Amino acid sequence: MHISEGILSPAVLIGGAAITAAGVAVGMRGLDQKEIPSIGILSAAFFVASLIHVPAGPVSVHLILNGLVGLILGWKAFPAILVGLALQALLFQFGGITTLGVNTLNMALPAVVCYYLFGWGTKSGTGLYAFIFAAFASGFCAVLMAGILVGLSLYMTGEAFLPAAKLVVAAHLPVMLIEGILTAACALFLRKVRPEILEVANAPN
Amino acid sequence: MLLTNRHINIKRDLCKTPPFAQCRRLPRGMRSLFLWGQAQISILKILNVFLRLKLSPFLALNKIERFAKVSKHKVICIVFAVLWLLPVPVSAHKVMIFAWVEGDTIHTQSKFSGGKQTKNAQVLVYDPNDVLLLEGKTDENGMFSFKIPKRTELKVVLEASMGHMAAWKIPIQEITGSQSESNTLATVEEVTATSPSSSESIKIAGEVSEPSTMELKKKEIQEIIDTSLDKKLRPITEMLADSMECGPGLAEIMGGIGYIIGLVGIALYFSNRRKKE
Repeated sequence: MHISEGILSPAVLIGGAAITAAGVAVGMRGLDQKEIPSIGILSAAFFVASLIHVPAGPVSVHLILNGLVGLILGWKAFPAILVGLALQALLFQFGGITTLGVNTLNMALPAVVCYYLFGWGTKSGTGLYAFIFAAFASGFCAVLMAGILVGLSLYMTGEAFLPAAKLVVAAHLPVMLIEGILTAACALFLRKVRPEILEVANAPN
Repeated sequence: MLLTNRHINIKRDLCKTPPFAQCRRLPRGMRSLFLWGQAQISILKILNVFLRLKLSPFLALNKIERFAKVSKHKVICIVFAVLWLLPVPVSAHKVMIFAWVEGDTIHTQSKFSGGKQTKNAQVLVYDPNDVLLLEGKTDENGMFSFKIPKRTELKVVLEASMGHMAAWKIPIQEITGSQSESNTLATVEEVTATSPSSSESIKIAGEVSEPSTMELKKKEIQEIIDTSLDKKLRPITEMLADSMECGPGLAEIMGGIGYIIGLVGIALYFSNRRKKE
């Protein structure tokens, strides 16, 4: 899911970086002190998740966990994912510094979209099945959308869109399922143990 | 799954001990899975001993039990579910290409970090001016070989799907190597061969003819040495190609987490100060 350096055209790189900067600004605006630790924890989870490798045919894919990050943090997923990706680029050489903006956009935007689509389901007062469904769908759709966005960024540089997007999405099918289950499990655990964490991003900026 | 040689050696030693002897019959990929399973079984056995001896307080299982309102066994199940999700060698999203010269061919080997071979990936060969010289696809083992297209510094670029890319530069010394020497010899010969027009120069040519045959012999010897050296060095270059992949280690992972904790600390410090003001 990390796009390497030297693949995308400068226009795509700059566009991605600009949108990411805007997203980070929205996420950082009116940041409450109480939210900082949970942003850090989810950023760390995102950072480590990329090391969990899922065997999927001819390509190499790994967990992303952007659904979980988005579900809990909302717009604050942008800074969390930016930090995680920057450290992955520096320490693991996944992706790259110039592609940081595009990569952050590709993973954080689906997270925010999932927050708006499924965030209602994980607040207090929803039934158990609706809760599980919302969490699963969030994990599943975040990876799906990230795959489509990666295909789109490749397309804007000249690769044919459909084959590129199809390949990315197909390769990530097992990841989507695993992420869905993982997100549901994590959200359920949090609901039992620390329900207030799920309420952190209750009022998006 | 291709691991570094050190890992393979460790595994070989492990395979000699009785419980693991049977795993030698398994194919390579299964072997690591098998060993991972064995390791988990031993962890389970140790856990079981702890539970039998009522040592579970040491594992803090009771605390987790009370905290999460789940039973001890569920906790153990969750731990193992997570353990199963974690694959044996950590690996992820990066591709690598490694190229070496053997005689007049260049071999390349490509893989994802973690050691999985990149099959059917595009390999592009460029000269220093970024002119595409040739392209090809990697085979089942991530290998792609081609004849040296041009005696300059070459850049071999691997373009795997989904926006993955890696490059390897082959310096000019490696490509020309001994050939440059023999090439200059050949040009000297050409000069001496074309220059004779008068009887004097024929004499010179006659004088030169003897060393030139010697030079030819030299060339032959050089070639023989080159080929045998290539043959001898082949396992080493392959080993080098194998050890090229080194997924992120514990130091990097811990370092990254440390960074995040530090950033949280800084953010909290500043927000706290702002609040006081």
